Amino acid sequence: MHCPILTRMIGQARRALVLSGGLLAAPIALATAADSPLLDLSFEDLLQFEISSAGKREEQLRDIPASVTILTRKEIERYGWVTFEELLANVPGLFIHNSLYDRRIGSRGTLGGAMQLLVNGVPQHSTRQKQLVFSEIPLVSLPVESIDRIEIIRGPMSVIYGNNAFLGVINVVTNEISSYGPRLSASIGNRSSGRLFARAGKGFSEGFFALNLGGYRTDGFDANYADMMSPEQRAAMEPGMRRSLDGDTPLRDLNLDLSAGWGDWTLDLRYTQEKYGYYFYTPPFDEGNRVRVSTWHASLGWERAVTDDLRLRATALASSQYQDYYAYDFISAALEGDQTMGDTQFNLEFNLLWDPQPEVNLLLGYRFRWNQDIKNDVRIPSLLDLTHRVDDYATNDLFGELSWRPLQQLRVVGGLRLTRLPSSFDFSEDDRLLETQLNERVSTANRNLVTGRVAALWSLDKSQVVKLIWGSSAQDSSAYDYPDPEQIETSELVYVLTRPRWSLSASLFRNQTNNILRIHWEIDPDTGEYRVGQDNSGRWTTHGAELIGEWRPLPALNLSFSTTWQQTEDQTDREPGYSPPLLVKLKADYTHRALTYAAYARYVDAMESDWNLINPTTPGAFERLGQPTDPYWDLGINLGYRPSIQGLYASLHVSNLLNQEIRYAARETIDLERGLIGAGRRAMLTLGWVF
Amino acid sequence: MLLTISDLAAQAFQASELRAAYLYNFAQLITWPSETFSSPNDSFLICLLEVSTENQSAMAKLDARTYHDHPIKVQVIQDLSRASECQMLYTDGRHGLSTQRILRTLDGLPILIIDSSLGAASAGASIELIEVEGRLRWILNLDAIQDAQLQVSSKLIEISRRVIGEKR
Repeated sequence: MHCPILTRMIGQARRALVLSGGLLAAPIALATAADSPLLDLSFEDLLQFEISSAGKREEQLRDIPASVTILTRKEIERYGWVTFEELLANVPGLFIHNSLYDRRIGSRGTLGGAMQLLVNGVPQHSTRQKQLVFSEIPLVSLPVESIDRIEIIRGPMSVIYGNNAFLGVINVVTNEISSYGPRLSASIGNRSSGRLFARAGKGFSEGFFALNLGGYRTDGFDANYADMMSPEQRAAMEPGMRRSLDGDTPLRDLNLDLSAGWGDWTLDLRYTQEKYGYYFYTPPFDEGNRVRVSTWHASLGWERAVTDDLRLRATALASSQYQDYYAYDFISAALEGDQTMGDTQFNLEFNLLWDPQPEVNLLLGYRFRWNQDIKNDVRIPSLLDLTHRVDDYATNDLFGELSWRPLQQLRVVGGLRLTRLPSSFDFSEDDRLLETQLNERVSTANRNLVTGRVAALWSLDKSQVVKLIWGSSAQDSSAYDYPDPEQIETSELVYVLTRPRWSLSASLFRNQTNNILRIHWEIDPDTGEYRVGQDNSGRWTTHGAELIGEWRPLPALNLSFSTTWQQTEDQTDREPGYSPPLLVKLKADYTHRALTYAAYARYVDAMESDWNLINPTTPGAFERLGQPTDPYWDLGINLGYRPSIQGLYASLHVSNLLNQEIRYAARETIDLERGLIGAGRRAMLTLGWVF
Repeated sequence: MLLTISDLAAQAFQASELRAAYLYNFAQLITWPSETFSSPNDSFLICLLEVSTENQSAMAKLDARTYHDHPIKVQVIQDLSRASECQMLYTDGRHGLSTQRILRTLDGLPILIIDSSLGAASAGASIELIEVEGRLRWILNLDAIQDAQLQVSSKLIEISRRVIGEKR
């Protein structure tokens, strides 16, 4: 029921521990150990105690060759996160940028790189496609109530997961139905927010099935446009334009996921639909811009242990994302039109997992991917009326990763992925307004894309480990005429110390991001005048440090903090947009009988917006899209009531308790100079029943 | 000094510690045939088969305890050849030794078979340990326990999460 490859990484770590401890020859009496206080208790008392995941989690923190954050259902329930977006925003090193049109997950100062989402090991649809600008809102709309466990790996992971695992991987497990059974819940909050969730399923000796169904709605933000605009932008507003965001940005989403397994086979189906409003260049005149995004995934997996040390796995996955901008409302009250874009992907993957020696683990894999129906269709008769297509194409990936323990204290991991890109991308444009047709073939300069990963883990003792990690990843950009993928390389040094009641993780990292799409001024050779050009010569260099600590001073009291500092510069030594230098996350929770009290605080540093070329009076001039946004603290609380493991439960969650003004720096489509004003204080009350 | 329940309340314990405590309590609520022990000094043998080192360490603490004045002895066994000497057999079931194979070998013997594999109780194990909502619970197979000539306390039946079969 897990991400198979991630589980294997954890399994390798466990086997390593078994090796280091040594299995005793049998039959043998075990040495008597210090007595346990639990042995003096009756069953009535024992039934009250929770199983601690701390030991297992600390083991994983030490032995996974990456920076990883693991959250269990219990911890998620203690903090009562309302949305998956809110949960991710409170994960060490991550930040969310909201542009209403999209939600981008930033990691360690870098925004614009994809995080690969896996649901029960099934990779969700790749959002990095030629000619398409896919929203990542479907990724963050997953119902929090469905999550049994989540593992977040920061750092390039393309070796195992391919395109889209640029900044890392988020693996969400929603099918541990035997441990977390059926339940219902309903929530209500301000801004007409509400949630409904239902979970059903059962575990059998030969298999299981788990069904999660969730819906969420909210009326979104309500700030005045005048408070977000520059004086020039305010003066340019037309009389009929709306003056407030209130009513312009509602969100409705629906998520359904079904996971089932029987014997060697697993089946995973997922459907999501999000309908939401967004801002697009100008305030609207009527009801605002609306888009409907739907995704579906269908995966069939087979896995079998051929021998004690050899496993084979095959997975077939089909997925699609489709965006329907069914209501346009910007620039002019008379503007009418719509736009649709989408594509379908088919993946076939084979894995061989072989442990030829106790100290050696090998993973080999091949993946075939077929992309089809790539289409972007714009029909705004007065403005744009055209269809962009990219012909169907295939990519082939061959990858492998070796884990070797040459010494008891030392583990070395190395992996390589070779992606064979198409020889060319065939692009076509049918412009119905200009009555022109364009067909263009853009050849791929280098068809062989190689990404890699190397890590060395040195165990100083049973509780301390030093990790030295290097990895690279690649992702497609939407520009068809730049077939070379954007690339990132990360070097990281990590120290992890785990003790029974506390743990500490410190890391130094450096990211080099290349082939970034950028616009620039260039001189037209025909006219001698400046014109806007585009290329993929952008480069960013990031240096940073991260410190994460957890402490349990009392059995019922948990404290944690994380701080991530980073500095990013582009090739002109300027800071790129959306790169907060400092992130701080603090959490505390205390449980007494049936009540849990939790509080959290999240600090996001000031952020610059991206660069923009301005119509030159001085050729070559550029400026920021908007003003920098101020740093902010988001404080929140959660009060939970859970009298027993079955039956009624309740929680009250309040975010942005102090009603701080949170602004998101301007983006291309939402160039509000002073930044988008985000959510104020939000409260949500939840009642639920566990069967 | 014994810790009171209020001292321990709201604590979370390692699953292995809880499993060990549950095994000890299962033994106290079940009666073995009188001919199981030929003398008061005979040990009550708990055998561990394909059990993680973490669980082994936790269950080693039962060595200091007794079952009705019989000293408890915990042993790790590598296969089923010596299992017939055990009064209780615990397995994590992690490495492929199926519940069916264990049951076939030990069929009819007065051994309480406790298995953490999913579906073990339905397959015929005496007790299946399961994790539910972050807590440890169990499924009791009354038919299997009674077929093994063991008697179960009504109290154990009442607090089981699920019971398969009926008390005869």
